[in-house]
Amino acid sequence: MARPRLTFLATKTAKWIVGLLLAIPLLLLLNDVRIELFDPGARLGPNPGDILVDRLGTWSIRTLYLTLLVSSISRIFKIPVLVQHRRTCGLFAFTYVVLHFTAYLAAILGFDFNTLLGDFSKRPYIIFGMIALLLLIPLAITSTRGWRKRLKLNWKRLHRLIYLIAVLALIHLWMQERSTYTDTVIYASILVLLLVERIIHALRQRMARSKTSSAPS
Amino acid sequence: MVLIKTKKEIPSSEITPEAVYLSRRKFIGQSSAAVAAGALAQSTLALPDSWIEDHGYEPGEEIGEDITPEKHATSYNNFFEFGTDKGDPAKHAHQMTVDPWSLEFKGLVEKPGKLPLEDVIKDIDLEERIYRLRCVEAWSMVIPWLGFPVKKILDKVKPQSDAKYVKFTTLLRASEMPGTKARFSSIEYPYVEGLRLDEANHPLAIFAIGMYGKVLPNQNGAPFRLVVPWKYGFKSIKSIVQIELTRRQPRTTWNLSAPHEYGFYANVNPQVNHPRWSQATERRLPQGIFARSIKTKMFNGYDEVASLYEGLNLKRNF
Repeated sequence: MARPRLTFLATKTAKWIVGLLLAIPLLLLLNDVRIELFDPGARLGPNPGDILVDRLGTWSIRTLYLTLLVSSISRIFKIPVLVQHRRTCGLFAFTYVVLHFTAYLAAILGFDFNTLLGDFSKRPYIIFGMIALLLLIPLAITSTRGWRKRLKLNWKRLHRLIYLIAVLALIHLWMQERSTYTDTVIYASILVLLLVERIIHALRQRMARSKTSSAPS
Repeated sequence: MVLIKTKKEIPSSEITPEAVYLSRRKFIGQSSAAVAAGALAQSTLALPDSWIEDHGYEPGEEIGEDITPEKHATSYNNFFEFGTDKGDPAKHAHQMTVDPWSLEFKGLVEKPGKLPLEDVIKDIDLEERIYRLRCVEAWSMVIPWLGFPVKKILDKVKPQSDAKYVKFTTLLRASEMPGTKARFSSIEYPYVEGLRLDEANHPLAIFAIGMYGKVLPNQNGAPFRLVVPWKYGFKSIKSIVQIELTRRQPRTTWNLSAPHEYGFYANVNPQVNHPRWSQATERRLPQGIFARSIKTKMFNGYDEVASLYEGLNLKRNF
């Protein structure tokens, strides 16, 4: 009741705004690709395929980690309504990952699936990325309210896969770092902080529960 | 120490008095410090474009492949001293002072010493060489370099009979090279590369001081770099300040950082797998987003170097 402004976050309009914000990088990139098709080299430089895959990869991991951050932030700053936007973030992460992989298939491999199979054995970072993508599919499908109700407690269990996916994405990134590990260190730190926050949260809940149950009757 | 044989008499009218020459340098230094950004970056070059015009050069032989547009060759670069993004070198390399520039010759040479770049190269004929440049990242360009065979310089300093390798070192000046201050770095600076002496003496191996008929832009390794067209691009070390002849194989930067990925030889070889990029094909830049890659050739198509490696297992010595 004390923070009327925050109720805006619960509205449909807020959901649209969050979605739009997360779509901006994609829209900008699509615009670049559109211009590239008419005027090669104008927006993405002489090697647009690599740049496209790279940028989509960057936004994949950003949105993925943002999805994980939402619940922590909502707890730390006591804005529970924020959690309503987690699904939008997650679906955008899924979208970016799918596009990242599609761009790799189209622009790097030219849809040569033999090379893709070769890449699995010769370039292991691709395996980690692929597993992360495959694991995201059930999460995207079951992200609706209907599935949430149907799966009940299992829904929560299933969606814990996101932690595994975050680790896989981190390995996928780390294996490709060449001269500096800055990005890996940044994402690894975020992951550690997230996990610490969740452990503290879980411990607090347990303590609260044990207090109520052991209270004298 | 006399290194330079003067070929022809230079008329005294063409020689700039030292005082004027030094003040000119000072002026250039000051003006480039005042103008921080790219526009005047070229003014700091040790060798002005007019040097190339005055010197003249033999035009390069066409190779029947399209030359990469200059704007791409000067804006899509790997020069990690200035950052890891392809655009970083073009953005930051203007900070590098390339005038004055000295080259130090050391190790197993008859004539060691440190000389101003101008003195090292002043009597050498310039040639244009149109070469394919194949990056280990599976892209390639076709670049018209201006330079001369490495052998011409090595002949001047006279390698001793027990010299087997040439070690090249890039400038390291952290105040002008933001990339060298990166945290969590897995490579160490200064950047070092090396060749076997017979590789360095091969007529295809050149030192370049220019490209596209002009002096090298800083991001392309001004004012003096190596170009070894049959090896992956990282062997073609930029902005060289030191050349050392050694008995033992030099410990080179990428090889030290990830020996299973980057061998000492680093000959272009489509049959040797790389854990990051398939080396079977390459993107010839500029390439449309969905355009097909082309097949990579052994030795980047420079078969004439094959005799250097007779009896050497190139899969093991990648």
